[in-house]
Amino acid sequence: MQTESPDTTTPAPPRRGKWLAGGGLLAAGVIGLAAWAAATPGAVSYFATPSEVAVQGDAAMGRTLRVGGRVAKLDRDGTVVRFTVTDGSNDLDVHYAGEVPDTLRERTDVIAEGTLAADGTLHATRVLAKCSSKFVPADEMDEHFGAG
Amino acid sequence: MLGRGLLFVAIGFAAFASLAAPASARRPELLVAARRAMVAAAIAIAGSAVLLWYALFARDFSLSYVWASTSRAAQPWYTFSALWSGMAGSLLLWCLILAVYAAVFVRTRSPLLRPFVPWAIPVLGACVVFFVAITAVFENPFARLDVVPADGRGMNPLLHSPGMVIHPPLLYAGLIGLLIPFAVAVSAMVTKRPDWIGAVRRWTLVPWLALGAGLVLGGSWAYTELGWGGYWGWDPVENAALLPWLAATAFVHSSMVEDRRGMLRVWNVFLATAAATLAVFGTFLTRSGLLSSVHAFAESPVGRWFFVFLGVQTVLGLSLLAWRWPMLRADDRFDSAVSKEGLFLVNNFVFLAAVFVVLWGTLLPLTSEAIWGREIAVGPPFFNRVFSPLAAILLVVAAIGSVTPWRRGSSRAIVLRLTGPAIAATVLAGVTLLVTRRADASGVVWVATLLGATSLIETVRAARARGAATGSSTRASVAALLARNPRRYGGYLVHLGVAVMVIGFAGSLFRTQTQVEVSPGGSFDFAGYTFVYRELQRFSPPDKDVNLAVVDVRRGGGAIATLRPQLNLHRNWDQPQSEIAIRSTPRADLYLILAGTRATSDDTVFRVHHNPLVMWVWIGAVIAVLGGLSAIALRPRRRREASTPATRQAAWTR
Repeated sequence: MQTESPDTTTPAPPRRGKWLAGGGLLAAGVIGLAAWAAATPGAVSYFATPSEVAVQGDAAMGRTLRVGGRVAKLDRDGTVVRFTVTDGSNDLDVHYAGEVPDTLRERTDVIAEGTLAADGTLHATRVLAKCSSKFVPADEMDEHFGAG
Repeated sequence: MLGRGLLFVAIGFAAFASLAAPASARRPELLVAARRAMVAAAIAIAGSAVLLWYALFARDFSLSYVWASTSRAAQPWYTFSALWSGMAGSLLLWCLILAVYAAVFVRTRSPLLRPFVPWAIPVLGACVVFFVAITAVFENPFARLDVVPADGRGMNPLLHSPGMVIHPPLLYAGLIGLLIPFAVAVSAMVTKRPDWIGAVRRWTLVPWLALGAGLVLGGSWAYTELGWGGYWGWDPVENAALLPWLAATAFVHSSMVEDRRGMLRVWNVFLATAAATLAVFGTFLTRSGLLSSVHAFAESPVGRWFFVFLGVQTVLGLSLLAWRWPMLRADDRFDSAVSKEGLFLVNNFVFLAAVFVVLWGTLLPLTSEAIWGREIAVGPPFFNRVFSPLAAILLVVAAIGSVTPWRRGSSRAIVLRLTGPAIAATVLAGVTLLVTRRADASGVVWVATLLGATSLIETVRAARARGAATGSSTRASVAALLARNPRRYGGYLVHLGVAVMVIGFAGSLFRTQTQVEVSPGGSFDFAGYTFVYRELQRFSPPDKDVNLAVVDVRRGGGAIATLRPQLNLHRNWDQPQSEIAIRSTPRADLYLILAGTRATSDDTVFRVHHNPLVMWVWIGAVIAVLGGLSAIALRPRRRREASTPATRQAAWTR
């Protein structure tokens, strides 16, 4: 593509080769860095619905999971929050003792991130209430998603 | 409805301007008409916004948007900011800011910039047409309700904060402003004019600074309002605004190389396109529903149109680049890797790498679902780990770049000039290592001090040299330096601010938190402080139930502060909202959240964070903004050494 002007004394191929090698090295470095960071414990999580967790059973145990669904039966009493995430056909109990987003309520969509304990409860380390960027109250969520 | 009608009028004006401006080569009077049409479009959109503001203040609840975003009890500031509290209104704000940028731009008096106006107008005009059409057709803020309610539902209580008044407009001013350098770049490609970089200097710095300040303000808003104890969570919405800022920062640096040496022309067109595309992409990400799920995105017509727009923007930028490739030949070649331009190039590669990893991480849930049918996400640990080495490289490169001359530097001279900062950095890092026994913290302190000290020492050195030459005081010389070379010394001030911010970020390595349940009268110890829970006050203003805890903080026997966190339940929203109490000192923040109360007793759950050095993040940001402002406000003394304008012009018109 590049037109070499007469005053350029350096021939094109070696320069292009150098650029390509440098670019390749750089890309490899960035990919390596990303792979190394992705290997950090807890960095990567697998999204699953309660039904998928039920199907996987013991295989899902100990893995970092992101479980998405709708909140049913929220109990905020004391230092621990317990709630059930449902996708309509299956439920998953979640146990959580961290920062509770203000937007977490019953009938809102939620993503709970954590590991599955032996008793089948998800011990969440992070809870994200969905639609927090839209700031819509609960009754309007029903219009969007259909009442639970 | 008049408000919506005005939007269609604006579309008409912008469309006319887009067609008339390019035709002005043959009929110059068309350019005048096109300019006036762009201004008229801005006035029409402003009129539409004023009508919506009027409806908000007049509590005209027949409008669905007014009902949803304000109520009779709303305070004036939150009625004002209600304009951008929902999707339709924030799109209208987007259109308004874009149109105002375009109107100011077309009326520019800068002789450097004027040649680019005729072909920049169609680009900006097309953007105005697109965004206003999206607003008017799909998200009409003037949609009416069948039954007029007696009172509005009001804005979500989470948005009742000063951050809501400033943060969104500032962020938008940053994102949208990046379309101006892009439009000028397109214009330069079409008209084969070489000098667009110098002409667009301020038009790049303003949005870049606004976006940076908007990001920090967003962080401070999240920190003081949302109650998770942090200011940055690598949330996709945050990443969406960070990406264009990273590209714009790369552009701010590489544009200096082109301005000074006439190199990196292709690269700069690419970066201007990338920054503008990522800016639109950021809006698209947060507005399309793509982030909440692929399915929500498919259902949203706005999302699909955004996608089309992004495609057109990318293809336009890249094909113009390919078309004009022969004309974008550099005036000059790199003399040596050990030169300012060489280090700017390293800086650019690192910024671009940062863009790629953040983009990859943000989009991974979508791409993994599309490819493997399995949604995989990466969280903050990934981003922190991938970003830290890149940031460290950037800080070191910035320090070296500050003491390296253009063209060819001597390694010996560079090492000599960095000796002082390196000693300071090593001493501080050593002390940090001894005190904290943390290698990561010590490393952060080393790179931050290296850059901070270099920026300070270089400024003082230049000021002393100037003072000795002119006989003025060092302080007066610093001001004179800023006035004479605002880009360099404003830049050093920005670097100093960034270094201070990084010290603040390092504090997050030492965060601690706890959760306790106590009764009124009880107390607990945490992080060397004693918290005495004096009482719980419960009262009920019309719209909410308030729980207010009064907590005395003691240290070494003496009371040092009284904190009053609240937990409010808003009846309209059936939603709890925390008011966090923060005691901020340069050493650390005490961050107290009233997390919950028992229904049966006054026993209360508190969550406490001890966040060291957070204040330095804000102090550093203020320093950086001051540096950015001085670089914008002061006009640089233009100087070029690379080549004469005549040869460059020849290269372009060939």
